[in-house]
Amino acid sequence: MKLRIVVDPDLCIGAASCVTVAPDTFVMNLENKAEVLDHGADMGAPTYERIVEIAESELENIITAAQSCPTLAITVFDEEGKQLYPST
Amino acid sequence: MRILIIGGGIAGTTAAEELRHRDPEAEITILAEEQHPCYSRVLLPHYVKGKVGREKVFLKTLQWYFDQKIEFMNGVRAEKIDVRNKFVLTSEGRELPYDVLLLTTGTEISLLNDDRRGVSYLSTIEDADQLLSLINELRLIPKEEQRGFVYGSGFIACEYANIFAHYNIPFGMALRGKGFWSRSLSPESQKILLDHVKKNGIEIYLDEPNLEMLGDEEIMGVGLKNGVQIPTKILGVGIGVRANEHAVIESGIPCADGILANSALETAEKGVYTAGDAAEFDDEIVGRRIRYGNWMNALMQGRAVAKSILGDKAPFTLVSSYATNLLGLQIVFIGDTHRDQADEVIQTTLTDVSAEEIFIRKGKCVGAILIGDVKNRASLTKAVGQAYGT
Repeated sequence: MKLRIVVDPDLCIGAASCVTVAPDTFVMNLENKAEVLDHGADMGAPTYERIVEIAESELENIITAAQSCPTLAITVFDEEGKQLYPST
Repeated sequence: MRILIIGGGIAGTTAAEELRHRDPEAEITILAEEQHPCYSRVLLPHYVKGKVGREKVFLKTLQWYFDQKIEFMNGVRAEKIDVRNKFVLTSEGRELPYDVLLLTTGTEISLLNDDRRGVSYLSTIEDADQLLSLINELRLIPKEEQRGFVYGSGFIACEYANIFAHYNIPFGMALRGKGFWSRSLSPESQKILLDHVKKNGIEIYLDEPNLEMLGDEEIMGVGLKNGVQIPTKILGVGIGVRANEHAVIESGIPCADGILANSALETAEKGVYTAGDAAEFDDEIVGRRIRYGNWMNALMQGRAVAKSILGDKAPFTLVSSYATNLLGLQIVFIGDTHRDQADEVIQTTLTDVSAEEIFIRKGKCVGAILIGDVKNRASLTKAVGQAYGT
């Protein structure tokens, strides 16, 4: 399954809880902001927004990582563009 | 099983969520002193700056507690904990029996002895509402009278500085000691922060343990020890926190800097657990009993303590870290950064704008601080993460 994961760098304060919960999906950059890691779906360096191909078993943990963000800086969408987190 | 959680912050709420996830039958009650559903204190500065709306600060709704079959008693305080007879007396006079008690009571901010209208503490959503309204009032008066002042030298003081800077409100700062985070940072690292503040055109006054408040009902200014008076309309105070509530201390549950617990977050009192900012637990990562006060630790301990309550007594092992910035300068704390608990602190980097310090105990890296340049955050977190004594 595919997810679109977006980090708002203006909200991110570098708490790094997302990196702790889902280190395969998030990484801290040199500005101390979280970025989304390449899951092999496409090429390139970490970025604030990425479409990632994940196993269904990873979904819960990625949502948990987004939930762990104290500033709600992470938004997760499914393939159809439906926002999975934060719930609307 | 009746599980009673005292404290409705992120540690207690996460624990309740995890407990419900793992045990659909447990009776879970959260006793929350504040009126609101769980909200993010970390978002309060963003809310004050107008980056997020007030409604975004709340992480849960009342409906969520209902859907999760978690009884949410808001606006209720624990007055007495009777660990022998296993009940908690509430501020409403009710006696709540429990099988398991979880103390996620967080911290209480330290207050100044004096008070005036215009004095602000940034701890609760009401504090944030008040600060926002003070800032809005300030913008209605002549520009030359718009002044703020920050008192303190830690995370909250940094937030006040960033908020005043965000609104272009001229401000000064006074610190009770000689610098920021004086129990953690070397004098050289502290100098980088002080120089950074001064470079931003902000007057900063050190060694001011007794700031005087001027004005009758409203704050008109602050008085320094040398008699100098500085006008201000808002005084933002961030002078630290303390962990223990009187109800916990009087219950006989052992407390020191926080509520004492083993590595699985269980106190010496059987069936009584703790997590979050209040918990002083055996941290196997840094090899000593320690209390952390940060979001990630509280959240992860909330999850871990739920497992501990349900029988999985694995030690809680997280490399605690917290990041902030002071007027754009990044600051990261990793692990145990108590200077007086380290055998040695190595200043591995020191420039005019960046610093790195590594805390060593018995030959192991137990903590680190990064200022300005945070590229080593991941590698230092990994270094701290190797269990103590291995």
